[in-house]
Amino acid sequence: MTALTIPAVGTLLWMLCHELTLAWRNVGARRMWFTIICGGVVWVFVHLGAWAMLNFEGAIDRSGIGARLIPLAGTAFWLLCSIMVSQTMAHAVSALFDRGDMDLLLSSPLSTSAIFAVRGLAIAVAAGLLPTLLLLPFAHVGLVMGKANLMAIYPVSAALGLFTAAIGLLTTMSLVKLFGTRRAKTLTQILAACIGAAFFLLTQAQQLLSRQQAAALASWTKRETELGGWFATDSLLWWPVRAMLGEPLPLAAILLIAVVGFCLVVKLTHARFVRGTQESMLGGQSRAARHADSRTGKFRTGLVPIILMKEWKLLARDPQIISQTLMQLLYLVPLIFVGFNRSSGTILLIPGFVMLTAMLAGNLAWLTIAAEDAPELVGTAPVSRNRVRWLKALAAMTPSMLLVLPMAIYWLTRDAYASAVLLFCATGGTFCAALCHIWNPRQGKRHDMKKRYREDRLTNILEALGSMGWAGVAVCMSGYWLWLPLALAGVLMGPGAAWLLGRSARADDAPD
Amino acid sequence: MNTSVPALAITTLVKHFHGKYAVNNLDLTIPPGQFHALLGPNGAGKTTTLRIVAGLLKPDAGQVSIFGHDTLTDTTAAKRITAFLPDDPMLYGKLNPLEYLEFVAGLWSIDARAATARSEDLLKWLELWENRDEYIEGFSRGMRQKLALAGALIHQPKLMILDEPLTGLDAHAARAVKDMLVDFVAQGNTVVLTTHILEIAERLAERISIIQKGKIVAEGTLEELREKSGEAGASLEDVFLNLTQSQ
Repeated sequence: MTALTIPAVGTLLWMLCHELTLAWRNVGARRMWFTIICGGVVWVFVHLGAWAMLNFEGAIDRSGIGARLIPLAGTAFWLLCSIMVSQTMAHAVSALFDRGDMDLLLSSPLSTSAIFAVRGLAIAVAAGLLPTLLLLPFAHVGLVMGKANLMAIYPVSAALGLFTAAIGLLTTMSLVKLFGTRRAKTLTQILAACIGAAFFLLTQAQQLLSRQQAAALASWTKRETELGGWFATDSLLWWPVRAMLGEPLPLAAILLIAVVGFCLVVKLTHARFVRGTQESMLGGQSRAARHADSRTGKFRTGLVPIILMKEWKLLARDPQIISQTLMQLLYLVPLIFVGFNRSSGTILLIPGFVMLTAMLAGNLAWLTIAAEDAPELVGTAPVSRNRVRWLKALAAMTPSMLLVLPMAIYWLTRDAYASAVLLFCATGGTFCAALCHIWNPRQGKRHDMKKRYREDRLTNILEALGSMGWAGVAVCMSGYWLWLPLALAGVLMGPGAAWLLGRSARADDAPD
Repeated sequence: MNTSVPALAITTLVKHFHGKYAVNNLDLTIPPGQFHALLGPNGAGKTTTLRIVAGLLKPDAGQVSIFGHDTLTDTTAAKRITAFLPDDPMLYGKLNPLEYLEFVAGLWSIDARAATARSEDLLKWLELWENRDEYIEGFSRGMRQKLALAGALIHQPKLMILDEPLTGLDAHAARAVKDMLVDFVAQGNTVVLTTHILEIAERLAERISIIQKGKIVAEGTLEELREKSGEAGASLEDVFLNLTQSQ
């Protein structure tokens, strides 16, 4: 019985099982039944959504989905693909730099290409799991509706995982080859963030372009949707959709490209992967490179500049933080363009700015205050801990405010009131977000930034309450004064609750 | 130096966690210029005591004073002349050693010109000057420990508290740290350290305190401890085992 369920030790399948077990324990093993039940409920709803979509008039024809929907489904497919590539790049960085088991694996008698292939497959499964769960309901519903050809979604989903893993691994390894292990880590994380947000920016393209450029783009798109064009229903671009509909040639091509591509990437890059992991692990000894900003001059004087500079340096030098904050900044880009195009604030624009800058300030405040790397050093210093926290909050608020300032200055000459509202509410929002961390200090670790939303939900809710409150104040100041009490309630509730909740944490502080 | 004021005076110190005593009416007085080792089995209360002395934990009862400055009421003055080095000092991976020392000097309000010169001296003395432009994240355990020591010394403390300072260091790094501590005491300063390496305490410490279940069970020179345990000529290891097992 055991032989039937557990693959023979040392085989590729056995290694893959080991990788997937680790991945499962990272994701949901701690609350297995909760994860399974919640996941199951969500999946039932996804099936219902798929049912509704396939029953939409004209959505389905004899072969599967209607021809006019192919470009739409194809666009969704490529959106999914870009998100998955971004995910696989993040996973590749983690496999290369953050996993501590490479010494053990590489010293085993397994071949390095097998180890790399298994890691690649695990990356494909990890990145592809969620999108696959979104696609499979269409196959199941299609089967019930008598469209058995939609079962081709199964092999196409597997191919999608392999293909995106291959792209992610190839990109990461190419960056390692071109720029070295250390820089590649930064670049990969930034690139992954950019790819992740690229589709959002594309959907907002109209806001980024002038009226003439937008019209030209619309006309070009229309031209290309005609037969023979890039976006026509017979375009090669939509072959993945045709493969999902079970068309033999596209299906065979997609499977061939994915499998051959993945094998080629493994063959071509596994040696680089091994060298990269070794460089990463021996980084301390081999890293003799000097930094361009090295400074041997006189030290700065005064606590304020020293704390501000230290916090800004730590923020600017961490690739993980750069990539994560960059994601948030990318979402600001369309808002900024709208702001410059319209020459005045609108009911949606200012609250949008307020929310995003407050969110950025909240993240940075968590990094500077909660994720202090050396709390014992700061705790033993002859300075007030509270003063240090306020200075750290100032370090976190400054970058957010610097983002708002150009827009406020630009509006000043055109719509001084909107400019004042933006400055007032953005300052309030960022201050509120920082206040939540000053008044409710919780120790965290810089590299757990991604987990902070999961592990400290309450602080996040309070932060969001304050930000939404200030966004609400901005709306009210556009003329909707009746709602001001509700907005002010949010403004007061966020930091107020943080103050109440943080009393014991602040009392636990040793005397200043 | 006023030798009548103890470098460290701990009086009936109490600290408990979840109803369990970590430190239980602990008394200890250490005069200036002494190298004092605090020994004890795991969970005896050594680290908790040191963290209270360093101002990181609030005691439930009792008093701690450093050169006459009460750590609860005259905190800033007490912290200004104290350095604390935890067993695994956390440093800033994305700063280089000079930037780290600049930050520490800023926290202790050291004059920038003096701090600059002192940083250079310390880094050269601890053989880290060549690495001054590298990020700390690439440093080995020994290099990190030496840099943490440089940070502890930059404000020229009179009392240095070290929790397991030699754990994980290679022979060269351990020798550098030991030499530095001996020099520090020779200049009239005071060192209190905990260690599980009894040979260190035996060779370096003038007086040794043995702590168990949150209380000092024996205190004195090695000779006095031998007498107390009734084992003349015994090694510190034997004395330690005898005293802690007999409690």
